[in-house]
Amino acid sequence: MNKLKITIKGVEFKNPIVIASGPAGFGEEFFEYLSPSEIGGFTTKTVTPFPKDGNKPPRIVYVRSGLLNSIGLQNPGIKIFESRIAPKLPKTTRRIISIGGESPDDFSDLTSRIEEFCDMLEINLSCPNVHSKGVIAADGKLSKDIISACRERTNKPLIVKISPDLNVVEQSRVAKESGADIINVANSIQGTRFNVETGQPFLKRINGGLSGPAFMPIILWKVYQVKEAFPDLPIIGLGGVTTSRDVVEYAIAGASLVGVGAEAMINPKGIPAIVRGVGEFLKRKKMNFEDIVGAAHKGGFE
Amino acid sequence: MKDFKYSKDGEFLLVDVPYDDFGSAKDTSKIRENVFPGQFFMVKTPVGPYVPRPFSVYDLKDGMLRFLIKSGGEFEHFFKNSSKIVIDGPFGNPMPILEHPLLLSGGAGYAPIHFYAMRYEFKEMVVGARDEAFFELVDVPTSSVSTVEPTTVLDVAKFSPLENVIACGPVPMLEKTAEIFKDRNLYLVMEEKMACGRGMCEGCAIMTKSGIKFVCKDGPTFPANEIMDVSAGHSAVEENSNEQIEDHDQRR
Ligand SMILES: Cc1cc2nc3c(=O)[nH]c(=O)nc-3n(C[C@H](O)[C@H](O)[C@H](O)COP(=O)(O)OP(=O)(O)OC[C@H]3O[C@@H](n4cnc5c(N)ncnc54)[C@H](O)[C@@H]3O)c2cc1C
Ligand SMILES: Cc1cc2nc3c(=O)[nH]c(=O)nc-3n(C[C@H](O)[C@H](O)[C@H](O)COP(=O)(O)O)c2cc1C
Ligand code: FES
Repeated sequence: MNKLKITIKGVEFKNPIVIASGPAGFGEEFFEYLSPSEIGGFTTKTVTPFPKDGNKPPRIVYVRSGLLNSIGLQNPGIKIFESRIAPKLPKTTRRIISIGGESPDDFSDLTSRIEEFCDMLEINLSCPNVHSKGVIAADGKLSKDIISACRERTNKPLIVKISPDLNVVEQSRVAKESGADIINVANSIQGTRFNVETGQPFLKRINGGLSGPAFMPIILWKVYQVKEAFPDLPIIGLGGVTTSRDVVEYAIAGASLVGVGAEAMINPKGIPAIVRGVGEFLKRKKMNFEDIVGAAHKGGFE
Repeated sequence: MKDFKYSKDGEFLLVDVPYDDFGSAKDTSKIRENVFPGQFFMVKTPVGPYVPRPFSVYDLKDGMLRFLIKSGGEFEHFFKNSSKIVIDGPFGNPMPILEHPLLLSGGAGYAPIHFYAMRYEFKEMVVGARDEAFFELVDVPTSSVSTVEPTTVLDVAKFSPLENVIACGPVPMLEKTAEIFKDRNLYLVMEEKMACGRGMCEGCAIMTKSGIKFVCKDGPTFPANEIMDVSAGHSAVEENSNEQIEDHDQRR
């Protein structure tokens, strides 16, 4: 029996490792380094209604144990995505397509156009690098309208990716009540760095999204909070994973699936070893992955 | 094991790393065929930094890769505390092989220029540095010119009549080179902060006349007349910079 297997909303994942939206693009280069069949799922970079050129350089700032990014959702837009990219997404892993936009109409139109190409859809309400007004998730009413509009267009499981800069329990409540099936906790957290030689920020938009191990404890805590508030709502824990032990910690906090972002772009060849490591852990503990999800809420392992 | 040497003033270091990726070649002398001047490796140590740094190949000889690295960053901090170096690559495209090129470099920008000159035995070079100590560390062919501040590479290079030019160095130097040699066949080796090094993350964007390109996948060497703004990634915060470059999403 496959100890790593987990089924969420009727979709079976052969293991709980899901590549996060963005750092591995649409997978073209990524799958030169590993086979799609080795990972549980793959999330595409966020697709928007029209092509986006993204932000001006620089887009990356190195920070200790992490990085700030300010990509700005550069993508070719839905037209090119649905004709050239979506049909080629590998079917030997679970395909999650991430969508972004501004209005409920943007999101519902994208949902209708991509749902045949994926196993799950991810609604990105939390990209920190696009709107000068702030993330969509900050507006509860707009979030609700967007999620409900997508819900009307598909029966496939809907993931809502929330922001770690806002109240995660409140965002999860809105998502759940609007018809979301799964919560992705979370996008990158906002941060900045200043150049001491010039007295100016490194990034033109000043702030960028922090990812990497530097912020893993923060996201772990947020996963724990969401699981505590909504024990039956499946969670994707995402932020700073670099080892199999990190994956297990996320499961303990309450994540049914665990996302890997920056590590997948830095060391794509190393991903299978993370999966193997989780398998070895489960074997040693004589448990299945499903058994350890939310262990911290039940007083630890039985 | 690592092997390294600092310049006297501590500003630069040369680092040797064994390279034994023979590719399909059986003969170790063929190893050189796998790595070309202009290409780079993503470099870190087992303890850090978290995001490996791109460094151009300075030399590849007898199964040993050599890098020329400017000190003072996170990489050096970890390097001092680790006995091992981890490399991933080579990435990026080779520099074009030009006929009788003039080669210009400033500081650590000498790395790809050195490898290019050595491999193809080019001799017309102007190598600039802030301090004499640089030239005690690196090897510069006797046929080339070395400049030390306040004299700049361009103070000397501007008199060259050569048609083909390749330059690598700090942004102000590249900007000035583009201005002085705007009517020549000029190539610039560009730099942007990188995260993946392999064309996935869209981190190392550069604006060109044919749209957005990525330094890691499409470069790092670009024809100068293709680049929209040599200093784009380095200039200060601009007005309206909260806007995206060009948002196609302008329906409403
Ligand atoms: C294709 C390519 C090839 C390259 N080849 C080379 C090469 O051969 N040799 C080379 O030396 N570089 C090269 N670079 C540049 C190099 O990758 C970057 O400079 C990289 O950031 C160096 O990493 P580091 O860890 O040494 O320094 P980092 O820690 O990344 O710091 C970079 C610089 O910023 C300074 N700094 C850090 N924090 C601040 C702050 N808050 N305010 C002001 N300054 C700060 C540091 O002191 C340092 O000088 C290349 C880049 C590219 C894209
Ligand atoms: C280069 C880069 C690009 C990203 N692009 C997207 C994106 O298009 N959509 C999205 O929802 N999140 C995006 N993210 C955020 C990641 O999916 C993830 O939430 C974040 O990086 C935290 O995980 P990590 O620490 O494992 O990287 C991006 C992150 C990085 C580093
Ligand atoms: S560094 Fe990721 S695309 Fe160039």
